[in-house]
Amino acid sequence: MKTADKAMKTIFTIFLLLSVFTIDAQNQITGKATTHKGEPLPGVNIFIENTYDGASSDANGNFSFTTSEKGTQTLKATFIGFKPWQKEISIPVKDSVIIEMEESVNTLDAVTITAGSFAAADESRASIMKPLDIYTTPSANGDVMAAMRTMPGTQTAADDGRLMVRGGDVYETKTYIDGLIAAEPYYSKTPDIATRGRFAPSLFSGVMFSSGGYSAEYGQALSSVLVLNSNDLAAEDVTGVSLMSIGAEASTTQRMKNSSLSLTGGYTNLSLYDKLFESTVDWEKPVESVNGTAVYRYKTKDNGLLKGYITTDYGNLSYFAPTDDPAAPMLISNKGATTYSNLSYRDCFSEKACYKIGVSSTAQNNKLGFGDNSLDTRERNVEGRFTTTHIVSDGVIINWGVSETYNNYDEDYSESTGFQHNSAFTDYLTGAFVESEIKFTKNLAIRPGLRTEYTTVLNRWNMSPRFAVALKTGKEAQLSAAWGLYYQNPQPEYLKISTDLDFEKATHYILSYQYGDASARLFRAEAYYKTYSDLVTWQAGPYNQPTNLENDGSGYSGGFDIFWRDLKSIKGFDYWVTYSFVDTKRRYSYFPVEATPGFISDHTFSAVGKYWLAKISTQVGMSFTAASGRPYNDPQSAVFMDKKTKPYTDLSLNFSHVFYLGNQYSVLYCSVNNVLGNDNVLSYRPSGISEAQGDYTLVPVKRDIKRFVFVGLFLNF
Amino acid sequence: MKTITTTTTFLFLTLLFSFPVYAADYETTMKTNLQKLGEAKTLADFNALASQFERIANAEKDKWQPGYYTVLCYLNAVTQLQLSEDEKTAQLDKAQPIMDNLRKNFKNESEVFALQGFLYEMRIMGMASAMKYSSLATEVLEEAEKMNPANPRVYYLQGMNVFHTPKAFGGGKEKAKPLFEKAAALFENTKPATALDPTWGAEYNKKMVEQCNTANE
Repeated sequence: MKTADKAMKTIFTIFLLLSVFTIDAQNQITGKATTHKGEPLPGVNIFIENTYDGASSDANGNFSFTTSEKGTQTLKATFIGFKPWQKEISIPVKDSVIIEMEESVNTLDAVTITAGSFAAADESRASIMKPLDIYTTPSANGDVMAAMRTMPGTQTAADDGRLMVRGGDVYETKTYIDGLIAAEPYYSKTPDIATRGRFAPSLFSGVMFSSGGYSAEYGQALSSVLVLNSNDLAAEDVTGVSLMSIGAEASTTQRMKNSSLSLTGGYTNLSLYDKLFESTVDWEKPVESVNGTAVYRYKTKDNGLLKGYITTDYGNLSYFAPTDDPAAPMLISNKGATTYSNLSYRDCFSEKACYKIGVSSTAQNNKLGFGDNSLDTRERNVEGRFTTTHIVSDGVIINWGVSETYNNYDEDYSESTGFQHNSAFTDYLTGAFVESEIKFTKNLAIRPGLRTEYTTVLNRWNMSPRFAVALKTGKEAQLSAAWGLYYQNPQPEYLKISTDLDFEKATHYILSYQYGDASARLFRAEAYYKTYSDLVTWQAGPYNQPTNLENDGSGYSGGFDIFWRDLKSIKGFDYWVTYSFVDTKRRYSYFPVEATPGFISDHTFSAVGKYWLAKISTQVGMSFTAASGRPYNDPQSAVFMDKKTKPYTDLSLNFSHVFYLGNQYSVLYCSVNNVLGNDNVLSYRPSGISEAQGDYTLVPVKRDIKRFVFVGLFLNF
Repeated sequence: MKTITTTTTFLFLTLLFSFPVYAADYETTMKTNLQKLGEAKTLADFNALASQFERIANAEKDKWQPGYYTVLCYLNAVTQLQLSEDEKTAQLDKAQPIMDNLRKNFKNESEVFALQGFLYEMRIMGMASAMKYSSLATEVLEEAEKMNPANPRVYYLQGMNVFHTPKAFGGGKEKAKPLFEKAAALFENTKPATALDPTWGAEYNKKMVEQCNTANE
């Protein structure tokens, strides 16, 4: 009995042990993983929740594994690019399990809305221009705006230096820094002399340039927006000294644990330059300017980021401009100080909702002299903005935001005759937008948006719907289309005279095809059509002041752009080629009839190439631009704006040699613009600068320096 | 009575044993899979193993090692196999979300941040990507160094980053050599905290030291 009992016990124990270790472990689960179309999916990870039991599907999508689990369990399946799958199962499972995986719309290769810009899913890919691209483009001379003029849809207009996009005038492009307006992105423009952008490219990690059809987040721009995204925390301490043929600059950056601070000071003086090189401009006082910049970044514990940026500059120049009397040129002078600041903070409420809040301000005091007359302007611009992004569900994002912009413009005009005139206006502009990005599938996305604005100076409000759609047609190919209404307040030069005006208005239609990847090879072709209405028109009255201001103008602009960039085919060689065609006419400003404006070249071609010679650590670059002739008005002709200048060409070369000093790299840089020394006439202007009409002779406008040579030594320690 | 007691004891013991068995199961499963990682030959091998580690990671949410090896499987496929650029990118894209999770949940684990540095370094496939990912790697490896200054892989990976950076941009053999040497010393003298902690890198580091010592070509 006892023996039997013992035997029983032993058997019982063995049974127990077996039940734990072996018998239970032998349930098999088999099945197949497929797409919702039934195509087999290899590599899917299938497993029972909270256990190690599972398998990967094979090349035919089949899987099989054993498990020791019993009863009701959760079977899960995951695969990159697909939504996680799960189902309750009861083990043992008799039938084979069919797992139908649904494609996720938020994969890295999912469609992105690109009409009008080069945007892509990954923020770094969205930037077609990086600081290094700007610095190494020979025709740019370190100017963001000049580098952007090698992008499709822009006008060459070498006598201006500002961005003019797809038939649009200068004022139709707005510049944003970290989502906040930069009201004066250029140094003050004086007649005949090209200006340049105010912001140093090194401050930015990327540049997003939209030549139309842009998001409802941006308003008050009829043609285009340029969005500059500033750097986050500086990586390390560095001190730099730059010696250039036109001045000098010093900078220092301190990296603390959670913050960084950079200070830069610069001085520019072109007088030495003016003595060495012959200038077409008869300088009295060549450009002299000082500037200072401070950049502060602070990162909070939970990845919030505070960005502060302030830059201030003072400039002074004067020169004699030709008039109809060769013996009596007119002295033009400009003195001005500008301070721009931008303070922003971004953080997240949760993993699915983030916000950005910021304020930017511009203060500019400028004194422009024409002969004995002078124009003193004081401009103040302050903008506050709050925007949020919510991820509502897989593939649905809602952005919304509000902004308030204060604009104050005050000018004093005085003549040697004693005539004085003050004009001023103040505006509060309130803007709000809501926009959703909806991905129906990995291959189809839409972006409907609505923006509304109210402006006190006009006492009017507007409502601008926007819509964009993108369809992926291949692995790296997609079609996009965009449509939208765009409103803009009349320019300060008009508002100071009359506030009985309305918004100017443009409607964009864009169709775009893109193939490739911006980090390797990218092809983009885009066709567009824009209509303009309610453009401000005027006639010259006494003292050449505009009178009869009305929103009576209209026009159109249509054309296409082609862009090709290749960083990949030849090692170390990066080049891009653009061609833009534009057909545009408008009646605006003082135009008596509809005509093509003087800054338009119908055909523009530009090519930029850079080659890195690794052995000697040197990069050589070339940029070439050709543009067809621009219209100008000959008062002797019966037809308005019927004459055209000769075509324009420019070949610029540069080289940058990188070498090593202490712990940092330094650069020796040299660039030559217009190497061939073409004596291009850019346009003709009436001899009386402040006159727009009347009987006068024409003065050819040429670039100020025929062959601009720039040499710089940028040392970092 | 005695019989019942004995039986109960047995039953109790069996139940008791089944728990350590589970814990031991973690170690043995991990060890088996780690051994398999050393023997993986094809892309399918590496990816199937990554899936296995990922399953363990899903069940053992308080441990960083399973997720770490999931990423390492994807990365080892890139370093050990002849893959096309697209295949490489696909591997790294699979690894990054797992890496993101690890970084979020194990904010102070030096090995995790070092591995992110390794991942960034693998993204370097041309000049443009070099500028971006080299600096990202530098930053994250610095964090890893702060978390554990005795982690040999941090210096090995810093060395790799410097070694492959052109001289003109502050890289090159001479600059990389002290880093590899520091890593070598630490590889010699540091014992992993647990049997499942990473140990890789010593051999390749040795090769790199040798490469730095050979005369300039």
